[in-house]
Amino acid sequence: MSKKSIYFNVLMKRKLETLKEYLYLLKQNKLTFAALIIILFLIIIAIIAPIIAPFPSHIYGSVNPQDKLLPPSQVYLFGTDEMGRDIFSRVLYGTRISLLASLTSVVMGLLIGVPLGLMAGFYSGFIDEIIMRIADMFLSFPPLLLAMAIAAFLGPSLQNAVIALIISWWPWYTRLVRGQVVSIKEREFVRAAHAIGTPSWQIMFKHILPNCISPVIVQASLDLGGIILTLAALSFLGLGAQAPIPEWGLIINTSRTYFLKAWWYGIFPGMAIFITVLCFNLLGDGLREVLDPKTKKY
Amino acid sequence: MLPFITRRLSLGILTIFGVILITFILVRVVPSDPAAQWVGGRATPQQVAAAREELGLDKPIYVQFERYIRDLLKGNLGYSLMTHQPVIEELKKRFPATLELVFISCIIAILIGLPLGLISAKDKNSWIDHFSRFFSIGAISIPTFWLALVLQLIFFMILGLLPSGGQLSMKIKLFQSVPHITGFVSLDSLITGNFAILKDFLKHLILPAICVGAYTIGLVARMTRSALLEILSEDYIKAARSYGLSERLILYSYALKNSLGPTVTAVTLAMGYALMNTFLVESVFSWPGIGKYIADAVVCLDYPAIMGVTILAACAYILLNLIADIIISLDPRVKL
Amino acid sequence: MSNYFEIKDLKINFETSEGIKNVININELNLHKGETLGVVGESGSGKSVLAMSILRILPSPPALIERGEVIFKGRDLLKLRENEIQKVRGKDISMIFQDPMSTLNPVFTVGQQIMNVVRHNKHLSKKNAEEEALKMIKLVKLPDAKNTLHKYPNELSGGQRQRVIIAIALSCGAELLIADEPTRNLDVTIQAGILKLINELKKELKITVLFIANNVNIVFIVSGRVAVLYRGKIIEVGTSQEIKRKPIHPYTRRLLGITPVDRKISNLIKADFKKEISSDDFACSYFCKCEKRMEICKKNSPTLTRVSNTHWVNCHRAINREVDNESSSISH
Repeated sequence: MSKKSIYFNVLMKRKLETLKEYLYLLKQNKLTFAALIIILFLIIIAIIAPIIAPFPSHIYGSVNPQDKLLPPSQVYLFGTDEMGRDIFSRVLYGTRISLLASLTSVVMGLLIGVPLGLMAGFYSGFIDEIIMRIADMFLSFPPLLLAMAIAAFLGPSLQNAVIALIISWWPWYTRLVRGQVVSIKEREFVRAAHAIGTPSWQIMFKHILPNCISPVIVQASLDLGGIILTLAALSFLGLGAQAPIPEWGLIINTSRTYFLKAWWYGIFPGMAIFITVLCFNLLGDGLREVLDPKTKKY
Repeated sequence: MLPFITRRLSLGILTIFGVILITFILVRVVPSDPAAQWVGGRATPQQVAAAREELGLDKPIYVQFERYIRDLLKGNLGYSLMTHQPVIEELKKRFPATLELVFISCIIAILIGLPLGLISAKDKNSWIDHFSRFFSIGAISIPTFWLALVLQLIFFMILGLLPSGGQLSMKIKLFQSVPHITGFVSLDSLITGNFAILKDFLKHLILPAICVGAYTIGLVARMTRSALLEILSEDYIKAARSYGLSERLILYSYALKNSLGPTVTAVTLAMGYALMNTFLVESVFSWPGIGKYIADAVVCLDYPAIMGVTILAACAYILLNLIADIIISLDPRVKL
Repeated sequence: MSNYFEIKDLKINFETSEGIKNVININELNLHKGETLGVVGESGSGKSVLAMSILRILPSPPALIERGEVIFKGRDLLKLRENEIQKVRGKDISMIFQDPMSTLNPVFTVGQQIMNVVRHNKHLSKKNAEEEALKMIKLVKLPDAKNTLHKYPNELSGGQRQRVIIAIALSCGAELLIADEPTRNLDVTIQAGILKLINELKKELKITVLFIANNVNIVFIVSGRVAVLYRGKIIEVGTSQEIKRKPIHPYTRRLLGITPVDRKISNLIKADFKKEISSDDFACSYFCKCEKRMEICKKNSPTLTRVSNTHWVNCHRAINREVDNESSSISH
């Protein structure tokens, strides 16, 4: 066997062992496992929503005024809204919006925040000061407030809400990553890489980044839930998705007007938010238990 | 100690400046024309131009910024487009109600959340630990505004136990003179010994307080639990056990003292979230605070009002963080 | 004849992601009153687990004590209830650990830490506790005792911290001290100081010491008797002289640097490393690395064989009386 294939074999064996370990830990935490399954289920729902929704035309298209504000029944599982639209179908479609918006926000936030954090921690000095001062300015707003202000001033819409969320979230990752980098930077292997002449960006991305990625992964999965909550809050205030987009928070907002007449209107979208966010939180927690105490192998 | 405080204070001021800068940029980003907004929809171009000049919008950017800062320092936050009253007056009127709600909710939340997190960490994997973890993770997953509607549904519409909103019922407002000493209804009624008002106030407070506090309880319980678990796994706890110290002493003396930092951080963060939750909850319960004000302002796109609340809330949060930092610096490990 | 301290048939397992692993499997280990017994073992041999199991401070998942007895002055410590073992800790048996920095609580001063323990265990008043703390600081030969009491752990050096820990451990009159690698994280010169201190305190306070380390030379300095721990089993026990001059077990000889590495066994080591074969496959856990292995070692577990009154070995070579007569000089 050539040298390269022996290396590959050993590498694959190692990776398999680590995977086995993760699965073992994951299986131990049944709640996390269940949450993961539910999330996958939700993703599938989001993808096939147009197929499984009983009244797909209700989302953006026709309106059914004679069936307005009907309580839940066999036909309309969650009842209908003031325009006669099937709430169940709208909630199903809302899954797409929430999951997609949340994923976009988190991914963009990571793409902006993580490299900035790496640079701030690695180069320190002036670059560090500038990046962290800017990040601190953004972080000094209470959560949600900055997103509210940005969304208000950009003009209420779903896209602007997502932009507002990205702008509000990236500093958290920067701060998280920078803290990690600062402590990893002093470790021997970084000095060694430097001494051999590895270019800085390679040190940052190939050596330092993999070592500080775990808390970022945990935070990102928790944020997937948190952003869904914040987006719903923005829409609830009127700053996010606008009618007729079936965003969960917006539906709840609209339901307020008909609160006395149609109790079912706002209940189900809220339940959807709750379950989704709960699962992401459980997943994030489970990931934290799996990824963090690797050192505490005692 | 003093140099630390001054350094931290100057950093805080710098941060506030940054906040003002950001909010100024936001205002300039507004797609609509503030001058046209100000004079209303049916104004003539001359009126709009006159308004623009009056509002100083024709001057170069740095002049505008300078004027903006000067106005802020004078306490001038502009005029609310909704009410045409000075924003600062609107805020002054409504801030006490929000402060009261946030404060009371937070106290209750901390009184519940901290012990919950503590017991959870102490008796890890016991039934109370599982219950508390489940409860706290649920509490931070629930959308606050939805919880508000659900509670209103259950307790007002179905059970008829609690009022649907407001701070005090009409009966009280019309037939009793509500004392106005500190501006805080709870304190005022306590001071004057008017328990009827106090009772009425508390009845109105429960539901909003639960909504504001729910997330807080969950957050505080979780952060306390994880901080304490980490401390309890440290070597010095193991050593203390080997010296024969009781679990009680170890927990309340050793572990707790070490958890000052994370706990204060948790509480500060929780209060920030609580403040934000009031924005969502006040309009549902018609609580007369700045939350309702900003919720209305957002709908009408009353930019000066939005600005004013943003600056106020941000400054309050920065102040809170400053106090938290000073408390944390009391930890002997922290190098000043 | 009842012993002062004895461990009988102790088996401790650990839950890991690869199943349940046996970590400690000790048939017999005794301590006589007033002696210092050194336990030598490499990393992973189970030293710390052994130390912590005596005072029952092992984290219970993942550690599982399958069976065994740890008898101290007639009482089986493993069978005591939690509040009873708590009374033993610190007052009868005390322990010092490897890392002085992490063993001290960073938010309490040195004086406070001693006082906390003393007040809790001996119910002293604050004033008496202060005097006691001062006395202990002087006992461990820390200079400028009064000021040291008010210092925080991060203001002290490594050696000073270790002395503080010794002071805390002995402050309540413990008669048995378990020292779990107390000098591992210290510079060599500081090490010498701590070892000297332990020896002196032993004579002054008349305590018994169980000294655990991975460096056999250090163990010889403080201990009268030495036990060698390999993968959770005691493979050789004897006086320091006997172990130093006439080590029998091949592992002990390797530890002392006597036996050169035999090239013939290097293949076996490679196989063990690649986890193709595991030492658990053979009856003697040292089989894979042993240059004196025999057929019988594969299937038959060696038992503790007496070589002299004080010298016992767990090896088939001793059973078969095939003791090598090589000189015990260290070769390269």
